[in-house]
Amino acid sequence: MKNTLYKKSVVSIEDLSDEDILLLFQLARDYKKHGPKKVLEGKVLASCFFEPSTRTRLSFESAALQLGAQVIGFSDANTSSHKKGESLYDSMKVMQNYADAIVLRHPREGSSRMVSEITNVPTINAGDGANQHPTQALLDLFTIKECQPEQESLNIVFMGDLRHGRTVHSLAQVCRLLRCRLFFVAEKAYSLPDYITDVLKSYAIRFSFHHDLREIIDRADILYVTRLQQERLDQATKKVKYGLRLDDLKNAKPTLKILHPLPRVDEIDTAIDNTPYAYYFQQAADGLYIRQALLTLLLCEDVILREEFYVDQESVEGVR
Amino acid sequence: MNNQDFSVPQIKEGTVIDHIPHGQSLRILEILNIRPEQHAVTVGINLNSKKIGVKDIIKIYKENLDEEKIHDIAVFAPTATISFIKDFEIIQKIQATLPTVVKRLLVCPNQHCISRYEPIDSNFSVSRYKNNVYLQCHFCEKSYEQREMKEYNQ
Repeated sequence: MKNTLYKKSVVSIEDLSDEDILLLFQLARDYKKHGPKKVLEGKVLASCFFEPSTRTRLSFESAALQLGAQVIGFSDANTSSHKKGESLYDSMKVMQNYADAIVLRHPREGSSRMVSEITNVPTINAGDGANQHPTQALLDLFTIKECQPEQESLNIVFMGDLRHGRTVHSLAQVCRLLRCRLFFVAEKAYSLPDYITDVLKSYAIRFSFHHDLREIIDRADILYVTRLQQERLDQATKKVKYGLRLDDLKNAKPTLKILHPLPRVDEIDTAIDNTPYAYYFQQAADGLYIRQALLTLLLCEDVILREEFYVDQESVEGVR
Repeated sequence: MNNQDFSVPQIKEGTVIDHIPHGQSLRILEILNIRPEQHAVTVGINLNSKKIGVKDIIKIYKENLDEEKIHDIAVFAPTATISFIKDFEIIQKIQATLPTVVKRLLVCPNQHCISRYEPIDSNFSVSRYKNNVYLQCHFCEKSYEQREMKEYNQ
């Protein structure tokens, strides 16, 4: 299978074609089932996090190490060069000499786009301000496919801060690769922005808006919960009005799966963790496989799968 | 509004930017960096126009704009006609066309956009939707209406 991702940068979810994404999922399934292979021996990954992160950073670093690569980098902006006022431009121009790929999280939007254009190694966007977080969207989509296989059409409910959450924006756009119907549950101030609904319409994805989860919980196959983006808002009310409690799931389908990009504060009551609905920790595990697959495809020209995984041809052609 | 008595005098030599959407001429002058100490300029604002209804017009004495500048102003004046004048005669006429990309000229209104802080050229893709011109930043991916673009690079 031709590796269309070789040496590509992954900055925005729009950079990936449907074929790229399906290739990624096939390799992720391979790693999930058969474990990682040491395909990145001798390679170095630069993990450059100018903003805090636990999951994403450790997930990338672990993925790289398990594939045999070495990792260098930093986990916050208090590095001496940044403190001295060095531009991101300069620091990445230097970094490209130290690594075969750069994973970048930076508070300014467009930072990864710039870095991908000024360097000659693949750049992976691990989050640029409120803009994109493509690997999160990919792992979310992969998780959805993994936890609800063989479905005619999935009912996916999004709940929480839909206005500022970059994970919701990217995921809603990539839902075109699923047969699905979307339901958005949020207070008015946190409702989905128009430019996202415009994109959904262009992909002919059906969706609706709701104020109360209980209206639609009995139809949900997937419930995707996000938190209020406190660090992204100027004046957020800190109270979480849309917290999920066990009682809310009274009428839920037994096959319902609840996802959350984490970290969670109080959006999901811990009592839900022991129910068969909770899938958010497995979701984080799926993230590791996706990142392993991504690093492999970006850095290795020839990739061999250990078994044939079924490719849903209709997904490849899309719902357009 | 009957302003048929208004007319802007002919110039002997220089550039005429005609059919500017009404009210945009001052913004065009800002973009072109027209300085009072360096240029003699006449400007007509809100004049009747057979072509577009209401228009602005700018005449710059003894200066021919280069093509790059013409592309720059096209985002704000896609209906503009640029004429180069010599000895009161039009020696060349160019119809502005909306570019697909605008680089360097505009500053991204997004305060969090990397292009405001790093040594890189700004970059916007231009599109038309209904009667509006939209600009999408290549870096932060945010889209703005043409009228929201208030800062320029010289």
